[in-house]
Amino acid sequence: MKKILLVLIILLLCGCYNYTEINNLVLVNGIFVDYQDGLYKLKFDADETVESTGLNLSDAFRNFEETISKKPFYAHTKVLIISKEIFINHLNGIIEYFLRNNDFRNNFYLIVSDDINDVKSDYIKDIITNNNDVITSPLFKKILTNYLDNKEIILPVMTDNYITGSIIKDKDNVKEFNINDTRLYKIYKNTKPNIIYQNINIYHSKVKKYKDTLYISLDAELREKKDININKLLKDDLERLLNKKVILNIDINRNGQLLNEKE
Amino acid sequence: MINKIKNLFNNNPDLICKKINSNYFIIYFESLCSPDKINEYITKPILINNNISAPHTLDINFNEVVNYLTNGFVIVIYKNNKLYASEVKKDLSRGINTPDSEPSVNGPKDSFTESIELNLGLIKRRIKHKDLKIINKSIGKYTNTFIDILYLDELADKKIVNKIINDIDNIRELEVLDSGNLSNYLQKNNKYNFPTIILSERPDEVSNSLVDGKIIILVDNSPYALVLPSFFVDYINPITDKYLKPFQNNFIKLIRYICLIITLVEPAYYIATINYNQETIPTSLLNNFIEQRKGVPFPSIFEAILMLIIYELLRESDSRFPSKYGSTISILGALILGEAAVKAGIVSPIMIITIAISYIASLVFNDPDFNNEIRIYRFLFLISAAMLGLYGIFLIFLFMIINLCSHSSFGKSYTTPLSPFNIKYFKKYIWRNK
Repeated sequence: MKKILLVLIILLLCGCYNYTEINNLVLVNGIFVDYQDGLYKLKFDADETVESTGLNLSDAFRNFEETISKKPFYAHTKVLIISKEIFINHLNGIIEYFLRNNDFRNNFYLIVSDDINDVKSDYIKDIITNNNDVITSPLFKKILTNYLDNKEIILPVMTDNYITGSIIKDKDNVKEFNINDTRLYKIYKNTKPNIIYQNINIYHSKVKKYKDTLYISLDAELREKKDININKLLKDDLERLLNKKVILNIDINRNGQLLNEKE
Repeated sequence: MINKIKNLFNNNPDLICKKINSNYFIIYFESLCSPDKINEYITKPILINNNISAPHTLDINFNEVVNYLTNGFVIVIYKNNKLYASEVKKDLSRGINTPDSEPSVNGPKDSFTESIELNLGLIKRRIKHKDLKIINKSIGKYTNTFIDILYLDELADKKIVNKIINDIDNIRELEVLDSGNLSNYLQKNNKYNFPTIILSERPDEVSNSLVDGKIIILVDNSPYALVLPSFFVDYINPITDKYLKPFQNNFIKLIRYICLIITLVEPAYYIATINYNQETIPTSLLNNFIEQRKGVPFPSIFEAILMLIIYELLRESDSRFPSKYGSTISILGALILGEAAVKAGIVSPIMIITIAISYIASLVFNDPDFNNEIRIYRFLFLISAAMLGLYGIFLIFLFMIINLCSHSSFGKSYTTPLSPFNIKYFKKYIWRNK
């Protein structure tokens, strides 16, 4: 009898905590965060787009939860879209909030955009995951690591539902690049850029810095025969972007002879 | 003398008394004795030679008359003072059929019948060794059922043999009509736990168990032999596995272990994930689940229990109803469960799939007692998962493991080949290498 009582106590007093039927849930697939006139303005992709405002993020989230009839479920959130204003001035608050909130997982994507009417989370997620030659998966957990290590944070910028460049925050300096410059910056930053520049496919880069000169060597592959001096073009572009003298060495692995003949 | 015997049976109309000549009287039960044999071995020899020529004739006293009469003997009374008993038993048993409840693709096709002599013969045909010991007993005040305890002297554990003999000797007020009665009596201290005796109708399985050092009990009038002590793995892997190639067979064994986990935990896991841990389900699948559950008025746990009960009803009606009408039930079941229940909005399609998979996985295990125990655990897992989520499943899993480890089968650990580790048994039943 005591044993049965014990089992009943365990089940009835501790049971059913956090019980939710799935048809009472609403999946929040994406969130857009903007800051205007001292207020946080949020848009949620929860079956339909729902807006809410608040003095701070918690307030805005609470307002949103009060306006919808079902329980919001954030574990499946795919994208968090932030405005430029937020990225430049309030990024710390955003990162801290999502770091501390247990309802969120840290595998959603971060993207910067100013003109979001409807939050199309699935579409944005597909664009980010399928077009990785611009930005390599801006996952929140990666950005979090960079943020905690005081490294630069680079996020894709979206305009009119297309990725049009990137925005970089290094300590307090913010730089914005168009899509071509983003690719060049990737050459400078990444050891495995895997990008296409003009008629070559660059899949490995190595950067050495000596005094004010950058020595960049690239492993590349010729994609198409063209009567242009790729070396000079790329060198000029990199010098303009990085404001430094660049000495470039492109190693064409395949069909290299064709290129050399032209040169 | 004749009147005395007649009075013993209250002038039973089945009891036939015949005078053959001035010296000889015969008494027998018409329902138990063969008239042809009586004519051939008793009447004819007495009339011709004034003698009995039945092969199995015994000189008995009056106290033994009842015992011999009820066992199909004819009692011959000579000059109203001497008694003889001759065996002229009618052949009441059916022929040897193929096994119904334990089918095998490429094993022997014979199975036990209701005759204990025939069953003993089927075993002795397979084990031709002097070490095969047979202990004969009879139990029951009214049924007086013969039972045979078989074991191989060299291999069987004498402690268990003595314990069983002792248990059977101490039987009071038990009428054994089938081996199931005896199995329940021998497991009287094991009311709530997994079974420790296998009931088998295959002579090859029983012989195999004898060679493994197990003890067999044959019960007259029952086509099922008791195999003991039996362990957890014995219920998962049938002996007919040995007729297959080891490597492929190990794969099938692996599937069976997976089936065990699926049939126990799968509905509970579904309930726990959709009610507590929705983040573990991929987004698109969760969206599908939400769509499917729209319009279902009941909580998912109620839905699951409802479906399980409907399946249990189907199973029970299938096993009870005459097989001639069997197709009606399956068509009705398929219609109700597959189509109408979903359209009526009583259950979601995913719940039907979940419960059906669990039910199909349980069909791998053919022992009814074992299956019933699994069924109880399935409900325990389900209720616990509905209350405590994945944590609840883990709690019941712990409870089950503790229960299995503390359970013993006639003094031996129920988890035997694993704990205590027995490499020989392990390689024979859990993971074969030859």
